[in-house]
Amino acid sequence: MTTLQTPNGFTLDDSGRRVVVDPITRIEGHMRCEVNVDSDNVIRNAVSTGTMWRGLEVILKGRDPRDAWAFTQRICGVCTGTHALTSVRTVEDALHIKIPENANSIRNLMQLTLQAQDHLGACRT
Amino acid sequence: MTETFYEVMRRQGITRRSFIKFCSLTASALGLGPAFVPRIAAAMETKPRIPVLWLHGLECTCCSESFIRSGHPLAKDVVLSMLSLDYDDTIMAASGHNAEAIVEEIVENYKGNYILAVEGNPPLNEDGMYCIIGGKPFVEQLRFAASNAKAIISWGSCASWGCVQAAKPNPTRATPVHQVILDKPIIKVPGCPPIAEVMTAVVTYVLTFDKLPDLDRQGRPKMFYSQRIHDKCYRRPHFDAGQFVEQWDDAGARKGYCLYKMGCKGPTTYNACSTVRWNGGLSFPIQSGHGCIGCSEDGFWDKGGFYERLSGIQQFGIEANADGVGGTAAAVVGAAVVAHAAASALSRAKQTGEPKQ
Repeated sequence: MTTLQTPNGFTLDDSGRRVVVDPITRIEGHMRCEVNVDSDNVIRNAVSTGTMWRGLEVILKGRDPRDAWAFTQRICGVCTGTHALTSVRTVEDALHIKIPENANSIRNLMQLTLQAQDHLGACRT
Repeated sequence: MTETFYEVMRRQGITRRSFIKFCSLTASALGLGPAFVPRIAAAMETKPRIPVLWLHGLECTCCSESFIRSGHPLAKDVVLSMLSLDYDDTIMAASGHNAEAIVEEIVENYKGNYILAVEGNPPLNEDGMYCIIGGKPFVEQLRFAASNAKAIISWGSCASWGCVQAAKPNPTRATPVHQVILDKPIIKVPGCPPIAEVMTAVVTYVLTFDKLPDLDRQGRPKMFYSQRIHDKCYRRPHFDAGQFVEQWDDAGARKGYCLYKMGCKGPTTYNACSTVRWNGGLSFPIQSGHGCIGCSEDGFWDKGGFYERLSGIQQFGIEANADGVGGTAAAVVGAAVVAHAAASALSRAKQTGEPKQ
């Protein structure tokens, strides 16, 4: 059995029957999954890999913190608002900004609206 | 035999009345006269569905999200029935090698007779290793899928310009489609994401008339990208009157004054947001109280902060390259905008300076 270490610490091997699904569809982004199945059809090893990197972390360096949400939001076009709100919170934490309760309520509304749109909207179609 | 759009629609229970309604709606969205309604209808009744490969490179899927939420529900159904959307890894049932086999099948069997829609763009650094699909760099899949395509639609700012991953320092060397595929007609539909109705209208036009719509010098359909957000903005009268929001929570913000001083990029952004609007014509960013960030413009991430007003656009022209001409033109527009704002403010000052009658 030969094994191979992935850069992020997972071990791939060629034991049993190796099943590779690449690309995984019906997700946002790009992903590869591979598993090793033994003679009893039991999965003994499974590794999933995100196969795309855009470097938003690198791009964000040195930018105006007020703009960070817009960059972060582009991580995912399906759950955009969640990333944006999280980014805004991160900037506020770093700068010790306390937001008023009303602002927090508005953000909660935005987040719940997004969740309803994403989950219920997806059910409909 | 392949079904026509009309047959598919009837099979899905869409009435002829609704069908004709859709045709006239599309004609008006495309800026065509009523005379074109029968032409659209005839084309849809007789033409077989055209296969479409919808590839995803470095992207966030916001273009797909926008597309499937087209405000007119019928438009969405019709367009999805019109296209034989054979490959789209975000919504297709097949996965793995079964999915990849479809690309090969279409490229071989429909030579010169399928449309390639691209969402996202290929990274060229490290031989394209920053985006891998089916074990191969995306740029290879893109080149292969483009090889026999009739035309290419570049969805969104990623495919059209590069967008966020191409923002400085562009670590993956993300490159827009037209710089990689040089021998095919390409129609750019920029925006982050583009407006759903614009996307469906572009597809309808291409399928109906069997050619690309009129494009401007940058390759965008003229009917949707020939005006600036500012030209048709409902807050424009406030700009002309010199009434600006100065702080996010001031009285001007509550009254819906112009957002130019808060960094609105409407005056330099070519898109249809202020006329077509979003979510079925419900609203658009400026209407919700935030300035335009200029998401349909080339390199909008690197044109100064989103909250810095346009007068500070000396950022234009820092990079001297083949786009220099376009950059200069944009800078001229910017200067004109500043002069325009100054003139508006001046005339306002004059008015207030005059004694009351």
